[in-house]
Amino acid sequence: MKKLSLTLLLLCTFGCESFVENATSPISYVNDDDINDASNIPFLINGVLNNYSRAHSYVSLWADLLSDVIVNDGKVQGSTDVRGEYLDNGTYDPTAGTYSPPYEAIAQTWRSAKTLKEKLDIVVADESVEKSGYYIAYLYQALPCYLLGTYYGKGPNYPNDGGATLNGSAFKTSSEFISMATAYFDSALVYANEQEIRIINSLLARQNLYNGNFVEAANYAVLGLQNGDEAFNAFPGLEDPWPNWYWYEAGNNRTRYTLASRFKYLLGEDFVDTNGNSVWDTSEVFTDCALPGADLGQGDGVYNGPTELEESVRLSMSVAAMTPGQNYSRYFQTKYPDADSPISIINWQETYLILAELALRGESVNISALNAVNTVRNSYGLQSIDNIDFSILLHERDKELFCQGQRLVDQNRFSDLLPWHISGEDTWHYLPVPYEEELSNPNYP
Amino acid sequence: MRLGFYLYFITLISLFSQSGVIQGVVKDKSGNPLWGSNVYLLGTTLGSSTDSSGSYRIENIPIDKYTIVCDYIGYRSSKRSIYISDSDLEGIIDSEDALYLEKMGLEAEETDLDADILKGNKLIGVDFTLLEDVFDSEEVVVTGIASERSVEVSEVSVTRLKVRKLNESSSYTDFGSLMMAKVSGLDIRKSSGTVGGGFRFDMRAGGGLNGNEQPVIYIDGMRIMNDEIGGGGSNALTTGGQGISTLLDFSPDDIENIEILKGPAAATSYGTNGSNGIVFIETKKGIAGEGGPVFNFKSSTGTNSPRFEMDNGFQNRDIFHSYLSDGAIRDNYFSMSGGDYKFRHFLSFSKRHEEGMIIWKDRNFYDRNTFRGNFDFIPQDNLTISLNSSYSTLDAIMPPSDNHIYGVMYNTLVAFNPWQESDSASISQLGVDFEIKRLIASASIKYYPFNKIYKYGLNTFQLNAKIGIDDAERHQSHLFPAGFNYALFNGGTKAMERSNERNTLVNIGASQNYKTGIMKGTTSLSAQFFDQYWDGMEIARDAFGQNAVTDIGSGSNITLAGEWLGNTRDAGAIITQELSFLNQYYVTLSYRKDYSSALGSSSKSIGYPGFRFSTRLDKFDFIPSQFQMLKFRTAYGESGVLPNYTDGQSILYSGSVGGNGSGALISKVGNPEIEPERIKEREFGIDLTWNDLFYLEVTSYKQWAENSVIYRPLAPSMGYGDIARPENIGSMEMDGFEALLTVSAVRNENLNLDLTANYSWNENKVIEMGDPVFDNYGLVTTREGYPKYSLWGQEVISARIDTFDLSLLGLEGSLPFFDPINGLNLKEQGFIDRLVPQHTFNFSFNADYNIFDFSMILERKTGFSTAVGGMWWATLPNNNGHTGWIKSIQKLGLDSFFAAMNIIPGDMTRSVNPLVTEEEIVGTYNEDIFSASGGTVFLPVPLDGKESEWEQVANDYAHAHPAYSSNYGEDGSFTRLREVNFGVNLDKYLPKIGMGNVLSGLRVFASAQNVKLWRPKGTVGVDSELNMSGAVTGAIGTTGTGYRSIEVHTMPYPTVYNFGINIRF
Repeated sequence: MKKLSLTLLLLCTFGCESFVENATSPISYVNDDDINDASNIPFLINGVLNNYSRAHSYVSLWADLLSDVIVNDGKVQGSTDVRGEYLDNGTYDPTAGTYSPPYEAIAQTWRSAKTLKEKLDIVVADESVEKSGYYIAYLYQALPCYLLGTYYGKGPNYPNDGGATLNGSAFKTSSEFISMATAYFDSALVYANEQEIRIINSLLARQNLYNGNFVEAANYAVLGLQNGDEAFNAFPGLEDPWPNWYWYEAGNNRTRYTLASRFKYLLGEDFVDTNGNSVWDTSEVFTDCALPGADLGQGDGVYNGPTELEESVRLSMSVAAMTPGQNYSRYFQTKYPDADSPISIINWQETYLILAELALRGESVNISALNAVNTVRNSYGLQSIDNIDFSILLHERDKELFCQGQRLVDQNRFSDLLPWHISGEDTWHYLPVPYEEELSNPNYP
Repeated sequence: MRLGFYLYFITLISLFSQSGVIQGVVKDKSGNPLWGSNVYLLGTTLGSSTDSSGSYRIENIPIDKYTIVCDYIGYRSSKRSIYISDSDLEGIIDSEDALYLEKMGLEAEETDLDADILKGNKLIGVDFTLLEDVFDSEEVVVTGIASERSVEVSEVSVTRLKVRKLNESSSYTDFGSLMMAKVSGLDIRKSSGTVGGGFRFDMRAGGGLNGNEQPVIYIDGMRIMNDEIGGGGSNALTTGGQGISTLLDFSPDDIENIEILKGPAAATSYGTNGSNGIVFIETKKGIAGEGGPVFNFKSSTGTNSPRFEMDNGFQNRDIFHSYLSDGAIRDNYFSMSGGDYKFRHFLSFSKRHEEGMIIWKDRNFYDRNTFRGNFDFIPQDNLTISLNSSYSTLDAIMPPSDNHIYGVMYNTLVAFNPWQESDSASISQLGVDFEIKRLIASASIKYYPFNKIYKYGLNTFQLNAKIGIDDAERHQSHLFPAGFNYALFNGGTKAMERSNERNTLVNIGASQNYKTGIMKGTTSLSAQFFDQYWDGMEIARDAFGQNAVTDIGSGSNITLAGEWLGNTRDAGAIITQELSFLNQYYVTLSYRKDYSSALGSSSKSIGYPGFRFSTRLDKFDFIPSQFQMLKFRTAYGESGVLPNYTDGQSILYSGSVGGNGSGALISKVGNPEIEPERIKEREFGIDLTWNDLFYLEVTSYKQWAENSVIYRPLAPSMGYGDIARPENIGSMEMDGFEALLTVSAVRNENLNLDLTANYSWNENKVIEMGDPVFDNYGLVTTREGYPKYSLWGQEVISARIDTFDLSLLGLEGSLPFFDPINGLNLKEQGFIDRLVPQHTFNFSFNADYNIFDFSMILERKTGFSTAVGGMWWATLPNNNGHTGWIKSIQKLGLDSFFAAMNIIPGDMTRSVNPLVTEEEIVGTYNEDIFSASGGTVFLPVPLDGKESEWEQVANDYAHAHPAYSSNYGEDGSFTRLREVNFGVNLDKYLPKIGMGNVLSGLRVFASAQNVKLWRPKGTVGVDSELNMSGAVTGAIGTTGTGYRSIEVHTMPYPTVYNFGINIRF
């Protein structure tokens, strides 16, 4: 009996600890310490690129929702998001759903790029792997800083409230983020090839343009992407959570959000041609799309012609299913028809529109504004235009950069030509730093 | 010569194998024979059952000493010591006489004989008169991993439900519904009325801050899975919140008893994860009897009936109700039981089909088959082997009717325009298909290596071992057919998930009983090893484009693919010391050392001490003899809740496939220092029985939760996504009180009348947790200083009648607790109410009259609120508006202006959807100001003579204003007629109808569950126990979504009717 008891006691004492230590490891995770090998660098690089693709399409969609590009209309099937309503109205209610996901995605990109850089510092890898790795690591620390500095703010007022937080920091202003982005871009340049150098120059040109540094912008723009250069795209994926968010929330997947009616105007379709001239005139009524009033004021775009039927090349859209009893239609974008449709981070066409704007501003960019705009138009087979001014340029940007999240910046930059489309005081001109940041970051606000 | 040898040998054998006989009669105190009572020799395979005259006879009893026991259900058992000698013992006076010892086969030291011992070779007339155990206080219940006590001496509160009788008069979908409203201190709430859904359990004050709030459940000693499958998530498999309960995989008809240990004081020897109580389910065993096996057949048919009515504020409620109809219930149960003292068996088979209330029954049902085999062997008188096994198959389709845009509820109740998100033909195609196969088996051995001494029941050494397995294979799939009208998942989408989960349990233990003078004791040493293993894969494809071939390979794009594997291991070593003195004082000391793979690297083990004491005060002379039992008890114990299995890791990456290929994604940020949440409990109680008239059990407890794991959200800017890092920073305090009173009001030959009332009260408060967390409606919070789940917000007092006009213009400025935009007087933002009932009162009435029996259960829960999320959701302008709100706007005559201001959509104005008549309009506006301000300023004013009505309507508007979700919190109190059961026992008529030789029992019954619900006047929600988050609480982390006492288009409970028949043959 004593032997039995003793055996049991020993089993209890030592068997338990040994038993729990031999649990099978999960297959879905790897510890941070276990990926400190050069062979893991591509895995980490892909993680950076995936994170940024998510961040880019997500932020662009929300920026378009806040701007006059995309609307939240509860009468469209699948449109059930209170958060979207508030964003569309330029209001912000921290208790009405979370505004975190795009903000998190930006910070995740920065974190993963920073981790990539730290891993590269400690592993021994081929020179080519190191070069491409450091390029990615720096470039994708720069882009999150650019997004935070451009799209986010602590309050509604442009340009006084712009800025955000990163890595649990105190609030940094937009200009601080832009400075950080510049430094990261400069570091990336060290490891960039020729095409990559032009990409970075285009990105720096845009960043400086948006921040009013026109001389610097011109310097970078002329060194940026050239006619015919391959676009610098983000590549969303097929699987959750990586799809193109335009497709996911405002496209073929779900019409939670749809296009402002003015894009239908711009296509010049579906109107009652009362004077029989085959083109839309401002007095003529559209028959099937939401009236401007139903856009909560977003329909009265400043540009009222000429109508350009061929613009459907750039303004790809399709009619959305409406809830029963509606006497109008909404349209959703089909520029991104699939979950994995690439989305431009920057391309030569945008660079040329930057050159055009800088030319209009009197900067020396070696190309006239009209030439630059027509080069872009001609690349789609569109006819040239004869005149150019800021209004027409903004109209071109509206179409060329359709569903790329740039319209919000233009509306903020050109408050005279693009009056803010949302009525009411203190409506937000920035995407809000999410409430969760206030709760969890001791340094903010 | 050879013949002589055989004769000699036979003589020798007969001489040394001489055996004895016992026979007698068993009766009750009125002298009625008790047919079917068991009479057996303790610790042997020898026994018998009484026949219809109450007679028994046990033969071939080897010469030895024994304890003979007589048991009969509902009666106190009776024991006597006997000696079977090789011949009668007349003439022997000295029990130490050598002849006596020789005849008895005893050693000299074994002669501690009581005077009252029957001795002899043929003991005739060993009769028993059994007394009714009115309150079952003699029954032995589980009080620890290595201990059992009878209720009469237990130091902790243990509730036992005798399920056999419940099942004779009703048909339950699962054991959760069977337990509802029957246990004080255990609040069970079914989270939806969708068939197959699960239950929320709140044991006492609901545990600490961690865990899924489900009790640990053992079936025949095997710890089983108790979570909910499916329901949530973002892919096509979601139903919107409600999943399939894993507790559905058993037939309640197989259950004999359920015992419940309610808190750490009682469950401390079960270690970590026992803090929310332990539920022991004991299934039926074979009953030894003469005349071969007994067959039972139970068949019932019934309906799940939509007897509820949605609030008339939902303008489309009639459409919703038109899509509901009775769901059929069919249940057939067959069992076979029999055996003898060496081998007993119980076999059963059940088949249940249950349909939900949505009219598309082929998309809203479950089919369950269960098979059970329980076997007990006693191959030798010191060894008992038990095998228990069940196998079940479940095929269910659960519609996405809960909080889902493709649900009937959303598209009728919430939507202003019916079927606005999808038409009914499309929705009729949907339903998540579940196929589940599950095996639960356990084998246990009790072995007394020193059996000879064991027969006295003292100084025994016992070894025991148990091994069990719970193995489930699950398959889920959901097809959105192509060609239908879905705003999402169009073009044909299919998602599938296959998973396996396996729990393995091994218990080993040894115990030693001993007696020294006035003290009896038991020392036990046990070890428990528990292994949880799960793996699975999921895949989704879309763009099928056709419905002819719908295997998942036919979809064009893979939209989701994943695989998982996980394993946790827990182990504990337990030492228990039980002592009793003078049969009056009882003490138990225990200590458990727990180990787990889920702990952080710096916290390998954790210890849980326990202490218990009870005393039988009725043994004192000064206590009146009418107290058959008066017991004081107190206990202290500790338990805990393990962190999640990866919480002890630092940073974990997963591989995730985006558009750039497989990339590293930070998926977990853990904490190597993490420890389990520790729950301590102190319990006091008094139990008494008075003159066989009533039984009272009163318990007061206090609990402390420490080291609670709080998943502190990392700031979004940190770059870890929405990951929260676990930290041991939380603490809580909980108090409670429970009382159970059973009155045996009438007990005679024709009529038994029992009344039972139980009441429980609980309170809990979060002491520490860091930042508060909210659900994503901003309404439910967990925060320091308040109950764990609190309704939080700014309550609306009224419309600001005098400044209603100006306030709408923002001219009034910001006054304290005044909303100038919406013209509302408000309270300060803060705590509104708790979300889990504080007071629970159950009352049951049982009457047996002649061949009839009747029972009913009434329950009342108060001290809590719920949120009618469906109303809030419906009221939001974005969702096209709640009719009640629009009606108030229209009565104010302001709808066209609100439409002009884009507060409500234009086509919802009175002119398009007149919800009120012109005569009902009580307000108007100042047209002059409206014109002068260019259509931006309006001044609402009452119509002449309608001032008081105007004020009323303005307040109606205020109390439904969607800007304040607190408007949709409402009193959750209710009274419910939970069950009504009626049965007729026709046994005695069987001979009269010529069936006496064929059947031995015949019974018919009718029952109803959720018969009637009473809510306070003015409440909108149908049932305050519905919960949009399903049955299992998630971790308190980034949001409070783990528990949302909110019904957002969640299907209310049906009223369940059943009619059935029991046949025994």
